[in-house]
Amino acid sequence: MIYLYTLSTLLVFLLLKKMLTPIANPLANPLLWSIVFFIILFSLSRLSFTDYQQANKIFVWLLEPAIVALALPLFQQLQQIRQHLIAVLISCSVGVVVAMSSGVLVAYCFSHNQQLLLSILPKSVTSPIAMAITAQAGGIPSLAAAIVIGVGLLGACFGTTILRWANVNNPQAQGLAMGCSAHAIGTAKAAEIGPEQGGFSSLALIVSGIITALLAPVFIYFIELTGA
Amino acid sequence: MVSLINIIRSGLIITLFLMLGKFINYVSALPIPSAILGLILLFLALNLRLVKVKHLTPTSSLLLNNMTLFFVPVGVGLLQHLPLLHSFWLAIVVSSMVSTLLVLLTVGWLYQRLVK
Repeated sequence: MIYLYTLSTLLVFLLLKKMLTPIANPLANPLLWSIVFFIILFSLSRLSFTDYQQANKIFVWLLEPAIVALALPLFQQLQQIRQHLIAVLISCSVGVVVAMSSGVLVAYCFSHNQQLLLSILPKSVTSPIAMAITAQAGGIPSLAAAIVIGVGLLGACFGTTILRWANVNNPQAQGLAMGCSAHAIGTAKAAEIGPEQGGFSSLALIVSGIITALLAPVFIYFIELTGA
Repeated sequence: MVSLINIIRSGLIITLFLMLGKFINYVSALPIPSAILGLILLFLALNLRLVKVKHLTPTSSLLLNNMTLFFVPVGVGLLQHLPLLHSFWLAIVVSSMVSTLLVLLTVGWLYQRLVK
């Protein structure tokens, strides 16, 4: 019977998608409201969240092949990528440094808890990389994963609107910005907008993920100094 | 029947590359997730013409078009971390918002300037 939970995820998401797609507001995001719906449901009822997780493993399991399939839009955008490879690398590297330094600095204004800062550090990269970085540094991996999802939702909801306001109209620039700031959740959104956005977003997802893993030790060193 | 064969073939190819990614992740000390390694390997195979684009459809489009759906249960998992999120919520919310905004603008503007 727990497989009713699998069906409910599918139905709630599809229903919300149908209802919210015609609405232009960035908050009208089916992913956001599906998550809110189930969190409220399990907080207020005696339904078992463990059963829900068990039944929905299929979706989590499908995430990995979906990420592998991102190779396709990436390959289809190859010509454009090759022409602008240096620009892509510079933009992603600067983006990664901005992401890590601004995230930690702003959080530091509110709390000096080192484990918190280490968990916020990799917030803009895909959760497996983020959890690996945080675990290595002695942060809280599950907190890091939770923050990563929150950041992804933020980017997916508001990213395209903010970029339009800021006159970032180049589809490649839009894709890179979404992938660099909001990893796979932002990339899923970017792929809905267009193949060029999707391709460049998956490129940014990979490149910034790798650069973050390489640069994180520097930032971890500084975070540890604050506690000394 | 042709489409059924296509579904199976494309599904198998994508699974194979995921498995290769998992294998490399397992035997190496690289801090790179299996799915990302699988993505890179499939990208290389496409470039080397070992795999053709038409071999990947329709499974690739099925997966890519529904990727957002797959994140729903991951997001519902936030439920388990509500106590931790609760104690640090202000720091987390403000830094996530400010930082995400800055990254979006920096990357968007910088790339647009560089390719002009």
